[in-house]
Amino acid sequence: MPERPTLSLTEARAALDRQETTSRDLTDACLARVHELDADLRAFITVDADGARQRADRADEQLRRGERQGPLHGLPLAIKDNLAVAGQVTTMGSAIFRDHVPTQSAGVVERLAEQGAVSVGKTALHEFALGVTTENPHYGICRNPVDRERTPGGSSGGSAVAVTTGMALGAIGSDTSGSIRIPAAACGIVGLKPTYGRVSTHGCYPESWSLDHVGVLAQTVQDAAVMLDAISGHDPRVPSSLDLLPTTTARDLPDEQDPQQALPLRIGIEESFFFHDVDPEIETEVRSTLDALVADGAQLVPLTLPSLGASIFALTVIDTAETTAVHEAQFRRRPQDYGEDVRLLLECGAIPSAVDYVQSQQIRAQVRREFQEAFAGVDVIVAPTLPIQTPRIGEATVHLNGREADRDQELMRLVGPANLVGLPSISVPCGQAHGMPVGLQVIGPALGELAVLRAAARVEGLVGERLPAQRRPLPHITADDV
Amino acid sequence: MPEPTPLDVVRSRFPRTPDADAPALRAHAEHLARLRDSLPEDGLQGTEPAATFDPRGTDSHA
Repeated sequence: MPERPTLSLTEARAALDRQETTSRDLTDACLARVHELDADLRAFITVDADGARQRADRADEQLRRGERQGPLHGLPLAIKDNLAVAGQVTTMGSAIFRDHVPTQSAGVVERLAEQGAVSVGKTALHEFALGVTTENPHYGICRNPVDRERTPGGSSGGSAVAVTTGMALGAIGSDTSGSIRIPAAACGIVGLKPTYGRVSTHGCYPESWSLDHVGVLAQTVQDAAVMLDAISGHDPRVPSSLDLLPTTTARDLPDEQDPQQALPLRIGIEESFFFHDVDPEIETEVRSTLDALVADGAQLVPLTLPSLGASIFALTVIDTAETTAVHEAQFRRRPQDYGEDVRLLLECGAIPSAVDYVQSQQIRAQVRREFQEAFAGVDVIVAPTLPIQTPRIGEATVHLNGREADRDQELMRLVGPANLVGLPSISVPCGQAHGMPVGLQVIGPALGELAVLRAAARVEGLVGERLPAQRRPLPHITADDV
Repeated sequence: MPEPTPLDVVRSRFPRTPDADAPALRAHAEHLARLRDSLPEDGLQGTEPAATFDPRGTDSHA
């Protein structure tokens, strides 16, 4: 595995404030990592090195004048390539859009620019974000930096790899059936999918309108909070956008190491769906983390969500049907320009009936009600992010507890319900199994991003010592240090 | 008249679907049927609609 980055986004920002480094140094360091690693790992589809350096120099000039556009000022970030950037090629991971140059940026890209963030490039994704491995027939296979023979997950695999290796200090991703949290868990970083409608999806190529979320991938929970605050807020161009101000989670997040600030934490545990048929090593890691949380004062509350099993049917129907509706005209014209797995997925979306779709919406309403009732008694619900060990590249079938299982269905199984009901959910590293990172998923009530981040920060504080390759703040940061 | 196969259903929308995709489509249709068969009926037979819309146009959800 390549050496892990030694500097988080929050630490980099502090170093910029102390004038111990510059945006140009930070950006050059990220670009050096891209140069060093990306021919093999393929985290990026497009690297905008010259543009990034120009933006970094501009950010430094502003800092010298005492101007700071926002909390992300001068910080090098990466953007998933299904989010439009005006004037730059945005491929959606598709051969059809290989030369596509949007005239208008995505809502989140606008927010990043307003904050002074420095985009280093566009990250690799599963074709049209329609898959969970980032094995892309048009732009290459994205590899997991922890074990390059394994998938980084997807569809935001490139964003996860970029953050894991320090090619960017944070990244934007999208999540329709786990596409932020799956790669975050597989690569050992933090991935946050906010509440449906919290973050603008304007300019994000749609996968499944009622399941699509834009969110963040970061090295730490604090970094994720800073990024969420920067990109959240109402966007009147998006019908489902919630008319709310941006979040203030970074400010509101208590210091979990400070006993004076640490708040009681009630954790809901649903056994029959979220802990059913999980890889034993992964389950052990998650349960030992729960034990540590209890030892630290958290309370575990058993609960039931009886309709969760039905959510798999609803997710399968809604995701495939909406996806096929999005692509229908283009797919009729150009089926030969789609990769084999995505072609099959779009064909599968023609199979469910209208009755299936409507009944899936009824299941969604029922599951939402059950979650709502559950959150009357708990702050968050905790589960493993993935029930299986990280698959090898090209391995479409996996072995789980003595049976063969479909890789993609297993990767999505525990993360999909939060998409179905639009609840905020984060994956935070909690240990290792089979030599690979293990992610713990925290689900919160609607608009409960702070609760989710707070619980994740508690996990991060408790298990940080167990994780490999600890990041340490550096007293003086230069391009060579990152 | 024989029931249409999953390949027939897909080809009615996407005529260029290759023969080679038939086994995967059949497997998906069987998977979907198994999931459908496992659903509790009481969750699907409510009279309250799950999807609504606001005729004033402030909520675009159909």
